[in-house]
Amino acid sequence: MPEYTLRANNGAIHTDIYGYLSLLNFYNYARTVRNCWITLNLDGINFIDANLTALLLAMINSLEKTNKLRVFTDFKSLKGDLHILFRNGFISHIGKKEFEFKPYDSRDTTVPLKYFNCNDADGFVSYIENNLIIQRGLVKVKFTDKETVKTSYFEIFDNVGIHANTTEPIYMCGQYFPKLQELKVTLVDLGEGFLTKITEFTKDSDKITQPADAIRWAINGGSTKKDAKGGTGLKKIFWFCKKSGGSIHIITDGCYWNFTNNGLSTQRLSNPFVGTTIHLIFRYLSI
Amino acid sequence: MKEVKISDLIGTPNAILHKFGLQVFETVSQHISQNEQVTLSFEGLRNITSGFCNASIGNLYSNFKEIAHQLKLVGLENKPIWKEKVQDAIDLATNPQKVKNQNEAISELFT
Repeated sequence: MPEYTLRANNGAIHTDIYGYLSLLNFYNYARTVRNCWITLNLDGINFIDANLTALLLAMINSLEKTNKLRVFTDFKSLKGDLHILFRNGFISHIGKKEFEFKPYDSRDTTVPLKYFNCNDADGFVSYIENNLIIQRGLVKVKFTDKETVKTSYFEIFDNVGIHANTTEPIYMCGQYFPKLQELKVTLVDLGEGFLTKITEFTKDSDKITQPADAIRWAINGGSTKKDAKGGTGLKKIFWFCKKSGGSIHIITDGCYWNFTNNGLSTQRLSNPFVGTTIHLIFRYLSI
Repeated sequence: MKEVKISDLIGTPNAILHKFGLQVFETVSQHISQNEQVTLSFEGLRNITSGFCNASIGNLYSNFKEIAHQLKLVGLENKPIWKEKVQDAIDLATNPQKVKNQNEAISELFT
């Protein structure tokens, strides 16, 4: 059985480009094999931001479809901080037992890993209201800001259903870091990315041909909807993140786009994963 | 006066999808086109989004010049955030300059 050992600097996979590349390396290795089981060995790491399991599970489920791969992980390798992978439900998903073994997070630091059909509006609303918004990292955030976060996610969910041109599910997961007062949330879709539709939509005006420009256009409230104006999901959540001292990372069409209070950075990725990954890092949540 | 209750029309209390907004637009449009007065009720809803409001209310304001005289919105009492979303949708449809100014403020962050 082929085996891949997940690795990272100092054994820690964080929500940044290096963390993304660690998971991407696994994905690109696994793409080289077909019709078999593959072992995902976690002995090479001692920490992973739990929100990143949304991306990892999206990769694993994608590989199952495209390459007919099943992933095996040795539970014994989940030591120390990696126990969070039990608490957020990742291990249940890997074992295809997500409907039988509901995760229980005794530390209340995770927003459980889940995926949704693009048409399952009620399921997504329930998840956001009953898992994200009541997460203790957001408890002290004022009502109007919670509403902003909540409805922004609804709009992002809607946008995937409209723009990403996919019937594949949307993955989401989060982790709260009480000492840092940070809530990290990742949402992943397996659709077309931003660029294709935006290039087509802008072809008669200021044609957008670069992924970073497409992301900026979308954050700026641009919408490719033809039958009505679009929503303001990314725009509003961007403002809220910025206001709270947080950051936003969008990875799509081979571009890693990251906006923090220190400014904007973009990097090109070779052999990127499909679709779009959005990491939001909310800070100062309990102040 | 024709009453359209959004939650009944879209079959969920969560008016969060663009397609739900288009459903509302199409239904209300039919009545407006026949010069009927319409009461659009937000009662029974738990969530609305700007995408929904733009596809429904904003679309109506974009397509019917006299819509303000024919359309009455109810169920927004004590819901200031929803009122703001609805007003934003109307502004987006009728006052593009205001939206342009907001977008330019965001653009400045990236320069």
